[in-house]
Amino acid sequence: MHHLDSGKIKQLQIFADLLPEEWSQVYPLLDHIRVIEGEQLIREGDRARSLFIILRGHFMIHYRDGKAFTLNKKGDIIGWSAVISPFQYTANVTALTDGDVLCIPSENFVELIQGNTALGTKLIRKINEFINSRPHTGML
Amino acid sequence: MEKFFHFVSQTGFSNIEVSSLVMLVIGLFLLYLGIAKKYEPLLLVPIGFGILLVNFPLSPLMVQPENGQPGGLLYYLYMGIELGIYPPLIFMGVGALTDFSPLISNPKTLLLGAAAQIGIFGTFLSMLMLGFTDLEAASIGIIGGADGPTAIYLSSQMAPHLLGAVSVAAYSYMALVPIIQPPIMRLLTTKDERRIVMEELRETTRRERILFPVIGILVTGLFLPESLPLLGMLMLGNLFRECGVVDRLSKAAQNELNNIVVIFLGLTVGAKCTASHFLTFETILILVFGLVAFAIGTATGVLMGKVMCKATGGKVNPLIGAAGVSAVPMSARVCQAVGQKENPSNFLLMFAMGPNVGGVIGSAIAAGIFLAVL
Repeated sequence: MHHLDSGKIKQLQIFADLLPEEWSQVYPLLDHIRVIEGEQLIREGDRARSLFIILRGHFMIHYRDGKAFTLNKKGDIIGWSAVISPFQYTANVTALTDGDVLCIPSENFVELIQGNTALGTKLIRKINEFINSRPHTGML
Repeated sequence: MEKFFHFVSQTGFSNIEVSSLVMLVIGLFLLYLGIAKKYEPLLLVPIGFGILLVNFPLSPLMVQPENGQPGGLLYYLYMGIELGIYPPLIFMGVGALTDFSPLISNPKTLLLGAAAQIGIFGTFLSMLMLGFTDLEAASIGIIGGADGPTAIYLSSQMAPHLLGAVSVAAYSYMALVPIIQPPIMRLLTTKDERRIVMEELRETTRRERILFPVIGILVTGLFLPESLPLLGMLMLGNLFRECGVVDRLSKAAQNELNNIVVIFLGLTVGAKCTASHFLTFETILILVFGLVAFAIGTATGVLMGKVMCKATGGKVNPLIGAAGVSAVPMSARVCQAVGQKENPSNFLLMFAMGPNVGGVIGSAIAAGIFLAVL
């Protein structure tokens, strides 16, 4: 995580409203993951242990019924099942190109919300914005 | 040859008894729950290991000092429980780790924490009727608060001979919160109630968050000084967190000190679970009535939630009442999970933290009342 620019990551939509002291609690929880073309990031039915934020790359979200779409916007989130009961991924996600994502483990995320409810409220509000912007895609 | 037989006579094989074997199995079972099932691992692992350490035949760990010989390691560490040191230190860690904002911004949720303490007093009366002394009954009833440090503190002060069973029961039920609470919550609420989305909490100011522990300690000190060891340390830890000028102390209370005390507390609680203390009919009663107390606490919390739901015209989701039993942070997460099953975009976690903190305060007050009155 150290080689990523904290200031640039802070500008991502999900973190944009955080105060400096709130950001200092979130930043250490983020892991940077490199993905390669064709890699399966999320498997449908697996326990949703992490929430992902796209930094770079194209990702295909595909459902069992054949529906699929792609995401490539920097700051878009994937895998919000990590914060929604029953905490199980509801789609597959495959990298169409090499890319980079940030990862927040679900457990750390819940601890963060409980430890600082104002911060938790801001993050949940942002996640809801993402969910509402993709109304037909299920929970992922 | 004689030396060989002497050596054999000093091994566990020659001295093992059935009761010790049973305790070893219980210790291993708690380790299994902690490691494989991840039920309260931070506590069940040291408790389970502590049970193993003291139940081997001829184990020297809990031996008292005698004839100039020093006592066992766990004997000295156990002083931290006997003298009432560890639970208040744990409370300081809880205070430093916990955000009181949900309670400050919605003080009504303190009522949910108070309602969930009814299980404590109901069980206290039941145990009196079953022939336990008032001190024993209080120690068993406090399990209903689902607050391990409070249960240990009260039991160590009032009925030390029940400490092992009370603490194992308290922590076992805290570990089983995700299994025990949801059926009760669903039974007492309708689907529509569980779907209620609560209004966003207002943001609290830094001044409010600093004043809360300060005023809290003034009120406690004047009204119920017996609660000061627990609530005083809870508020001190929270003041460390919120005042913004002692970050190092706050971090120490949250991490290093808290972790060290958790190790000592868990090990020595386990060490108190020797066969002679634990394998008794009383232990079975404690486990059964501890569960009853906990279930009643959950139910009364939810029922108070329903009352608040009606009184506010449906603005309070009654599920958050279940978090009033304390069991920080698990019961708040259970509220979140049960609520989300009905409405996936609903986030109750932040709202459940209000009664959760209220429950911690409520159970410490209940302990203070017992200490003051009995």
